[in-house]
Amino acid sequence: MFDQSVAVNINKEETAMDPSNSIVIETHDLSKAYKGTQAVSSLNLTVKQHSIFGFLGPNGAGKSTTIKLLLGLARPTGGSAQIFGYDTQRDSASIRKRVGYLAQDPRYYEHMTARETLRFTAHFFYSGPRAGIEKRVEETLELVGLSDKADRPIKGFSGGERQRLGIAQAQVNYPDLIILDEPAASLDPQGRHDVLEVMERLRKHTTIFYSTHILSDVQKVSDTVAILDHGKLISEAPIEELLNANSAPVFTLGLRGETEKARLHIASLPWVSAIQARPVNNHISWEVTVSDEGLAETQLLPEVLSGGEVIVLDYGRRKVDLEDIFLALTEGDQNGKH
Amino acid sequence: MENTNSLKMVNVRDWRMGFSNLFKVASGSFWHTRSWIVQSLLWLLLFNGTVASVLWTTTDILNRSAYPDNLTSMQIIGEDPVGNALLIFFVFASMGLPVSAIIKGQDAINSERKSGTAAWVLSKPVSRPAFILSKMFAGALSVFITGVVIQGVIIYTQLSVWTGSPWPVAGFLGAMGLIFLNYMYYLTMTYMLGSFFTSQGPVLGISLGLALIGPAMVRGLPVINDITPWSFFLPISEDIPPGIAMFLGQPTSLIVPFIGTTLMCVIFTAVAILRFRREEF
Repeated sequence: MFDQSVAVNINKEETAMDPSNSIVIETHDLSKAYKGTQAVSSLNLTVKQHSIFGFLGPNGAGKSTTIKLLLGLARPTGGSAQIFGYDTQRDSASIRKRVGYLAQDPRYYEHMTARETLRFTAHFFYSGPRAGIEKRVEETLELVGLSDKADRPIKGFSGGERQRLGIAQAQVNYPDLIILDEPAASLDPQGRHDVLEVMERLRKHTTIFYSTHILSDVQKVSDTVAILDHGKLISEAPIEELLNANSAPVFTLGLRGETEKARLHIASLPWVSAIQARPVNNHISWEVTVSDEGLAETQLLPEVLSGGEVIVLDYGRRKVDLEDIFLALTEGDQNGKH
Repeated sequence: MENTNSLKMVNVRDWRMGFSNLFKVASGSFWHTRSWIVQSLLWLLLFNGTVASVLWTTTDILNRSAYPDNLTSMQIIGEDPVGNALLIFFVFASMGLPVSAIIKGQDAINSERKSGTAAWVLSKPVSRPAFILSKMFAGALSVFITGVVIQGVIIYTQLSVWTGSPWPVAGFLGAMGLIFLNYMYYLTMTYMLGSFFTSQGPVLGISLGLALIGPAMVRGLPVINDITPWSFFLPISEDIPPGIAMFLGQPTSLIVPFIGTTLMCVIFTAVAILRFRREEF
């Protein structure tokens, strides 16, 4: 379990951003092709300071490639990217001094212990004093709940412990930006919860850019999301905006009886946009999408019952969540292609 | 909680960025384990053991103080038991150390490239030259100490005690320097090959192939003599090889192959760095 009592301490003098510049990451038509395969295509992203930016996409969408481009681990075949105003290709070193990174499948020197790994990482950023570095290592171990395993070799670590160590090493230098590639993918529900909590706490001090395909996590902590599919940006917006823009009210009903006649009647109402009907066990389930929420709330149920030929078994309203939007956008994109 | 503002930031921006940290870790994995003892003992057995087995067991040499001045030709060296022992020492040193360079160097880049640790390290403020050079220098230092300095001190002591007077020190140091230069040639070449190939096969094949057929190439193409260490110790003509002549305190000229080999080490290293700069992860 992550230690909640450990506060995050920031070296403000060294890491503070220029307050006039609230954009942390900016890409302009960023593209990457591998031997004819377009991994990332004309990507335009803007990530603001202190945001938790969820970078979503199915496997192979180009998320990890984008992250590698941002870190200077790969070279773009087109476009450019800036972090803290520095070009990711020309000034990669200046960027990496202020960034913490957790890879999708983090690998460390297996013979080292967690403490040695954090000490090794810290020495890329700090030259001393030794006591200060040791203290920082200890704090970081506590933050991710690895104090009791600090002196065991990493080769015996579980996937979750490796991930915790990954988060620890990514923020041992109080980075202005933390880039996490699928940080919760290999964790159990408790581990995921802990990771999200740490991210939430770090938000005050840093900007977090993370890729994931676990949509419920994104909805919990992110304030902005970008959806990537086949290397292309499909959508980028604050999460509330994205949910609201795609949140046409949907009412659900479970029915028995002459439902087809009732369905035709409901479909003819001007405030009903669509009805999806499907058999479920011994009854029929409807999803009714409406354009006027007020009218639907007062009139949908009476209208369904007006013919007297159906029995309503259950009635409710379904909220659109990020998964619906994600599926609609990515499937829509795929349908458009094929 | 102590305010960690007191931490001093690393302020290196050029190729040295991350070098000292990486070098410390690469060296630590050798010097903080039993590796250095195992390696020292291995070289001791191979190099000093060979010489000791002749010096201290051959009883029919009456005039020990005549050495090394009496070893004036390859024919004499070949017929003399001590000359033979020294010849074997140089063959082992000029082949054994390069083989260790090739075996250790061939996987130095590839293993990290494949395991993902290279991508992790390079996501930190680390320059790519520092990544290559830290490993190369740590490997070179480990062999310099265990294979050259320790063995050199012991063999020098053995020879001086056996002859009853100090062995010619300048030539001895020069010859040990050439042994190390010979090692560096293969180490840097292996790193260069490792930066190009992602599998071990070509790196091992080319390096070992050159180490084994190199001397034969010198016979066929004498110009190669000037840019390789192959003529330092291996007897490829009737003359005493210049490295052995130097060891025996005899006048010799090695300036061209010395400069040429050193230059090749620099070129191999530069190419390895340039290639690694373009590497994508």
